[in-house]
Amino acid sequence: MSRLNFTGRKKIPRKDVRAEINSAGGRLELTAKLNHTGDGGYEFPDDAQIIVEARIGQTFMRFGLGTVADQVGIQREHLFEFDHSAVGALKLDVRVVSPDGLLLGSATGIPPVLPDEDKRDRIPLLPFHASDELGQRLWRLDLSADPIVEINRGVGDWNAFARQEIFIALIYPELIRAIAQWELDQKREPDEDAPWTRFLHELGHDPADAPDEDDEIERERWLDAVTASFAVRHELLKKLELEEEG
Amino acid sequence: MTTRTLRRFNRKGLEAFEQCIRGMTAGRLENHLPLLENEDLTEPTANNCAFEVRDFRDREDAGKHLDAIVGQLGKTDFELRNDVGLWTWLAAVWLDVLIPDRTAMLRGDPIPRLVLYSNDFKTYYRHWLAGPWSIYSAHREQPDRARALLYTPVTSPGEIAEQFGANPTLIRRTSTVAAITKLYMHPETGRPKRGAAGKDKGGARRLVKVLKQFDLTYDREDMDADAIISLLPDEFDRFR
Repeated sequence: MSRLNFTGRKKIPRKDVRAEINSAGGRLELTAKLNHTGDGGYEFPDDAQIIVEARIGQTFMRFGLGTVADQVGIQREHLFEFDHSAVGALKLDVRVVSPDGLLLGSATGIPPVLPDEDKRDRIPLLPFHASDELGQRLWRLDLSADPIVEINRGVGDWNAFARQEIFIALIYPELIRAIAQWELDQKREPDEDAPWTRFLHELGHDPADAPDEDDEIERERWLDAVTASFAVRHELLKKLELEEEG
Repeated sequence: MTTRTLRRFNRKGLEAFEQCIRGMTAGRLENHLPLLENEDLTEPTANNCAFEVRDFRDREDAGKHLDAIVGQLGKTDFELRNDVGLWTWLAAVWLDVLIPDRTAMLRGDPIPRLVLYSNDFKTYYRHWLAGPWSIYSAHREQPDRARALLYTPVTSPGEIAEQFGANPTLIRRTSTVAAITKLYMHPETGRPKRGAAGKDKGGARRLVKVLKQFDLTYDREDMDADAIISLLPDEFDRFR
């Protein structure tokens, strides 16, 4: 399934988005700027607007960073819509938009640089959070925005719980399969830098080559192959045996 | 009409209420009222907020009334949206109003309509109280804008609300929601145009797909409703 970009929209690499969260007294503040918009950069028109949206799930806040010719950026804008406890799930979308609304360039799902204390529990790519709302369920994969795994706080040391070899061996393959399915469902234009696309590439699978959604059987096989590659890469059976021996 | 003081379910309360609903759907005699102020299952909210339990004219009326209730807590919309114990407790309080005939519990699956477990868009919009509140609160400065998503009875949200409700990136966008209402609702009657809720060309289901395609090409937020409608393909002409 190949996906083509017919829109002429330019992809903005993540490295060109400078975004940082400050956290003081439970108050989240965002500082953001887009680099390389001027001469020798993307060649966006001078009057194009640069916009950043901070989002978690269905909540978002939108800020104008100015025009390409006169970018002022934002400095420590208060993210009053968001709860500090969810800062690890915060993602940014940056857009460059012509005056008539045409999207000229974009970068989506960028994690801002977090304050040091918020990095401790952050696992690259797949954040884990404790949850009080899972009832009798031990974990849940939240795909309402970028993937997040919730662990029932009732298990005690939820961080240690999710790091157990038995948890990794039993649960991770299903997480990876569901995320691979989710990645396909996004129907994104090809983006080699998109984190989950890169992850799947590293496993030897290109989402652009996945069978079309109409071909359910072949698509399931593709997802099975992704899951199997993950299990092989991480030697999950061996992990389980080692845990039993230990 | 009853007056109550706002509380929320804790984890045990959420489970107890879900079990109670499961019992009702299985045809057992269950009584949810003892759960509502049980100290082991619920906790009081700050400020001892008092409110009236009454019928709702439609989802907009529900959104407005609930917004006034939860607004007393002085929390952000983000915090309120994630307060699943609060919304599930409110659904428990409203249960007799929402489902006066318990035999109706035997049909369908009322659990996602009454019990919230997480802020997951795939189930959140189905909740009979949190769903309309979530839309109302995003448009509270101008609720008429969201009329297409809020005109139905609370317990029958209808196809338009279901189609857009599952797409949180659409329902919180002011100009997009204004375009949906302008396209599909009669301004005089406040009722939908014929075929708006259908599955055919130009219907709500198609509009969701077209708007998602637009996301690749346009930033709609600073466009007005007319500009968005003017971009739609010919299949939408019958609603323009």
